[in-house]
Amino acid sequence: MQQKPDNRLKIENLTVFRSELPLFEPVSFSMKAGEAIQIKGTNGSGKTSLLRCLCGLSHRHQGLIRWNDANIDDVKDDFYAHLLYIGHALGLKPKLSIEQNLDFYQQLRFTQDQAIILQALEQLKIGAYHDELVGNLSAGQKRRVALARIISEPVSLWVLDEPMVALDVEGQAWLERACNQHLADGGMIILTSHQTIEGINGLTELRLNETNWKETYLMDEGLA
Amino acid sequence: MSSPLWSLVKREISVVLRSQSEFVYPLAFFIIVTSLFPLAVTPDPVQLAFLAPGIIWVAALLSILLSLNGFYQADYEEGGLEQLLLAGVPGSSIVIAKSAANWLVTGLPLVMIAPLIGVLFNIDMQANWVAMLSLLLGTPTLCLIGSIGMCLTLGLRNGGVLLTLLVLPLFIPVLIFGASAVQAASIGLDYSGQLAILGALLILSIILAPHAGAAAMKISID
Repeated sequence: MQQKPDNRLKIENLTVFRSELPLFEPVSFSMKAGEAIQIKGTNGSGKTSLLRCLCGLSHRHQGLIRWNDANIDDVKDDFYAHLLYIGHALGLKPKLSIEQNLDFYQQLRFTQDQAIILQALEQLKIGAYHDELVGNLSAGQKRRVALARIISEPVSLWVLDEPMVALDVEGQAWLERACNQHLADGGMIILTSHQTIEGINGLTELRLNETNWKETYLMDEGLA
Repeated sequence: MSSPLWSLVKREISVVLRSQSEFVYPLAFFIIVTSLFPLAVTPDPVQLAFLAPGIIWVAALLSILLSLNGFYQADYEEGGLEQLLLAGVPGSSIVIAKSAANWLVTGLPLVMIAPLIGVLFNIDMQANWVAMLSLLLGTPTLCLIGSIGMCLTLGLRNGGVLLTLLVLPLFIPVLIFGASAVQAASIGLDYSGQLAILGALLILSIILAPHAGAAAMKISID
């Protein structure tokens, strides 16, 4: 495990824009090793957009995102070496097997460790299908394959967008255990979920409040 | 352990080889279109030899255009492209890897099959070689230019129509010099100038296309 206990992520007055209008009121938070945050908000409140900005995929935001006190765009290589993002689109190739998919992502991180891939799949109860094409799997199994990356690519910051979706009770319990283990090892987790997650130790909650831009906008225009 | 760029090329190729429609369709399109001309226009060998350079090049250009989508659209929709960017792979490397895979899977077979089509059109040995050589120099350029258009139209509805409009004007110089090289060779003229320009276009697109594609990809993913 390449854990550096001194990694810090700091968000200051961050808000994300869509069509030049802010999606939510500015949020600030900071996290260090062993902390986990659950981002909550209604549908369309900007949870996914926030995570994409956090990962540097999107730049439609205002405010600061700092990794070890430096802007993430300035320390991209270091930040990405510590980051694992699993979004709604899982990034799996349906035409490749489970193992090939996981193996490819390991290679991008300059490692190759088949044993840990098989071990991750075993934990997720999909070890028997490691040669199966991802395209033949069910939605829940695909989610499990994507989540296997949290084991097969040990990094310190996990950013998980709705990781519980499509998982059965057993899968959710596994994810909670994996998260707890990760936090105990000094990792950091940011996740979004509509469910109340009770199994993860010390999970703090961050609620995104919708901006009242509609009223402000209408008042400015003299329409209300 | 191999470098990420090479594993990316390998992955692209193995994905495309597994979906046969992506891989066989452009080649089949090339063979079908070219072999329909003798039936539709004229079976006269002299006239066919005269038409051959243009037909071979137009068909090759269109089949490359057909093949582009398979390398980008699905990867974008499945979230693979953003995972590559998050793994720290530069956008320009992604474009290079995808263009290389695209050419190996689509362009190279076209180059190989072109002499057979040449024989079908009754062009002489010399012109046949030049046709192969011009495709060898020209098709990678088409793949690279096409990748810029593809990166720009990622995630757009009806991106295919827009792609054609964006990319075809840039394909035209390659088409003109490619076909004209074969034409010159078939009437015994010097064709080295046209091949040199094709080579220059290839070098130019190898240098510029990855950066343009990376910039376009960044906008599309944002």
